[in-house]
Amino acid sequence: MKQTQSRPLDSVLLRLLLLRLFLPLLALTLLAVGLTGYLSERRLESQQRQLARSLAYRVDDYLDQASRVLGAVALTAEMSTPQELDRYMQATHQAYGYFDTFYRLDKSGIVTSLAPPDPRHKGLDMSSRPFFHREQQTTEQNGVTVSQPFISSSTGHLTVHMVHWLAAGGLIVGEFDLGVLQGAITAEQDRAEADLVFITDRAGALLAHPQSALVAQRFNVSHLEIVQRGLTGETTLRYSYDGGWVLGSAATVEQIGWIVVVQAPFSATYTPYVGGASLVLLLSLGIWLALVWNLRRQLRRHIVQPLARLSQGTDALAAGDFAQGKALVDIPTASAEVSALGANFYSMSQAIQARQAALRESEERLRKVVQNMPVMMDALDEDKNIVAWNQECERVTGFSAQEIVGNPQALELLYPDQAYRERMMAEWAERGDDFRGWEWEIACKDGSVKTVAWSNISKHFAIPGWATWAIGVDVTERLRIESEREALIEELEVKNAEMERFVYTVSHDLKSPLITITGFLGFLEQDALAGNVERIKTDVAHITNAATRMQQLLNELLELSRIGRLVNPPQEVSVGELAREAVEMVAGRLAKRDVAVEIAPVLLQPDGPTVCGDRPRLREVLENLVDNAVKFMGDQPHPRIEIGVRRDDDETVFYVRDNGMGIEPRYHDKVFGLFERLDAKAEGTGVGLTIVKRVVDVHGGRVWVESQGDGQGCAFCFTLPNKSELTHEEQ
Amino acid sequence: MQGQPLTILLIEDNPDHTQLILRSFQDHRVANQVRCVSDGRAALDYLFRRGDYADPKKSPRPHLILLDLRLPRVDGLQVLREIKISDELRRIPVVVLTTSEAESDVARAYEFHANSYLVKPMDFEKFTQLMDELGFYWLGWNHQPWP
Repeated sequence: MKQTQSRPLDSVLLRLLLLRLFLPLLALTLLAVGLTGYLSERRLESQQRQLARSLAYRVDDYLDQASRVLGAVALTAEMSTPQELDRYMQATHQAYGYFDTFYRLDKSGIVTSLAPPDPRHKGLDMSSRPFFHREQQTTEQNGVTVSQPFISSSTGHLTVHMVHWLAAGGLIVGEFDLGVLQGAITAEQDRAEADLVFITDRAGALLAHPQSALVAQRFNVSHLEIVQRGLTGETTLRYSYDGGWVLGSAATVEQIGWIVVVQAPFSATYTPYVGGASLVLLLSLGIWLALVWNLRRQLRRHIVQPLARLSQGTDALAAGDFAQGKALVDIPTASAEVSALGANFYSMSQAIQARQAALRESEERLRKVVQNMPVMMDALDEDKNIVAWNQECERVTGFSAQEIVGNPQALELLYPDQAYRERMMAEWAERGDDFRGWEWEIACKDGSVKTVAWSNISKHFAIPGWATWAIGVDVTERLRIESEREALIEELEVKNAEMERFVYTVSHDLKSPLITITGFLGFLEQDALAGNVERIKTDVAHITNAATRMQQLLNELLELSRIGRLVNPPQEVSVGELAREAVEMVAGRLAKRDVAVEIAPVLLQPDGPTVCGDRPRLREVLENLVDNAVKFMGDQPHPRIEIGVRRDDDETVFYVRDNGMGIEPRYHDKVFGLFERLDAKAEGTGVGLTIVKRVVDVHGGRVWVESQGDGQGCAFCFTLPNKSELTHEEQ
Repeated sequence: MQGQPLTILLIEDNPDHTQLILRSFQDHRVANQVRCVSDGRAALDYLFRRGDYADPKKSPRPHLILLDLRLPRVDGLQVLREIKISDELRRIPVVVLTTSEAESDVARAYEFHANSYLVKPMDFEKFTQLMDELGFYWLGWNHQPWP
């Protein structure tokens, strides 16, 4: 996110250098240029002033030389004859070129001699001339007065009259050609390029100027500030002239007061400096840019690119690609810091890698334990989606993690009964995530239902990302075993009670004949001593009777213990056949009591009903029942026994029915008890029906009595499994 | 000893034992009238004067009941219980006389308010002595609930 806002380092540095360094640099350069310009201007000013001063000096020197020459002529005129003066004047004129001409005037203003000699001028009256009036003279030098400049009619040059008054009267006049000044400034102007040099008199009228026409016009420049200032003294100043800025210097010619002005355009004074400064500026900019560019390259090479590679490397590290780590050490850079950073990152990555490996190993261990422990472990997210499903869950339910994890219908899959599921969820919400061994019935993939005891303590041990988690144990087998054990215990308890009853019964019933025997033996002894033969007989009969009964009891007990287990392999037997055999076995007693026995025809058919079991025992059942019926016929005049079969609901019920004494309903259960006899006078020991019940029980059937009570007859009914039922059970 | 004969009801299913008891009584001249029944139902019929015993002459009130526990049809303990819940009969002393030494039988008999619990001795001497003392105690020393 920050990367989109920030710029690469080189760009940032470039901007910094441009903004923070270039502008001051520019300012400094401009300051230097300005300073240089100022200093050069000062120098220019000084040069210009020097030039003006030297020109003024030269003008002054001219005038001085000329006045000295004129003085010499005047001295000669004072002391010499006119002839000698003429000669001297000729010589002087030829020797010194200052004057166009010399002449001497006498007191009245008449030309007496002149050089070069010109007869036309000799004797000419010049008293009207301004210079003849001494008070009109403007300047005096070495005793020489200088007249106002005028244009000479003979040369056409600007000329001044230089006058030397003679003591003897009269005066010497020299016409001084100012053209020499013109020549001087022209030469000077040629020497110092672009300079304008001109000379004015005290009135500001031009005496010399490059444009000689202006001089001829006697152009007045007194309006110029430089001229005005120059009249008051030496000066230098800057001013506008002819549409441009110029620098001008003015110097005064001593004694005569003329002004020499040297002027140069301002631009001209600056041009060399500006050019130089620009060059310096450009050069420094170029150097600076080159430096910046190089700096940037170096930055890129040694910092930015290594940093980018470092960044890539750390990105790769962050993404878990530790293979890139080694490359961090070899980042080409001259920067010790960057290479140290790379090395540090590498060592950090190695440390992280090592720690990650350790972490992974530890996590792998834990994961393996959780995934493969023989305990179911699942976890749900906030939306009741299953997010964890370990191997034991897969093994128990048959549903793979792929089918369950993330499947929004997983709970419906595992708890398909909506009502059950909703009840569980509601109870769960009530209990919260703090329970142990809560049993849920879970539907497995193969359609079976298993019971899982879930324990959930995630209230105390919340795991981030899991709303709840629990472990479960498949207790289906345990519950089955428990219920089997309970059934077994119950059965054992029943058996035990039965056994206790049995032992009690046996001990009681065996004790009875013993008491009889010991009792009558005592009486027998008394009777024998008394010789009471009649009594002896009955005593012995009692004893014999009791002994026989005891033997019978023991035999039957033996029989009972034998039928507790099946000895013969189960086989399919026709009930009709068994009935017929049973009837044959008790045929003697039946005949004795004259009992009619009827076996239902359906039993005797070839495809009649069959049962499966230990054949001799099954026959014994029917035998005992028929025997029992005969025994309790009572005083029935037409004793009759019927062996038959009927269909009750889904089971086949066999029965042996008689029309004998019958049994009251309250004794119906008692009749099957060991040694139980409803009639104390009845023959037998009361084992027969016990044997029947035992055999039927062992075969997995039921036996019961149906009778309305005394004299109503009764029916002993029983069920036995047939072959198909047996085979089904075996499966 | 009172002059008039007292009635004993002997409830015993084993006829041999009945003979033994009766003869012991005879030998020791327990001059009493002993009535015998062989099963629980008959005993209750006698006591409540039902069925065969509806006629009070045939079923005089006994002064003592000797009761065997193991009886056909109606168990001895059941007979005891019915006697002791009956306002009419509960005063009659009931002496359990049985072969059973089972603790559960003893406990249940007393629970149903048996007046005495005797086990038939295997030894002849002891048997006859018990019968003698039984008669002497219950019919001699013991005060009867009614004349």
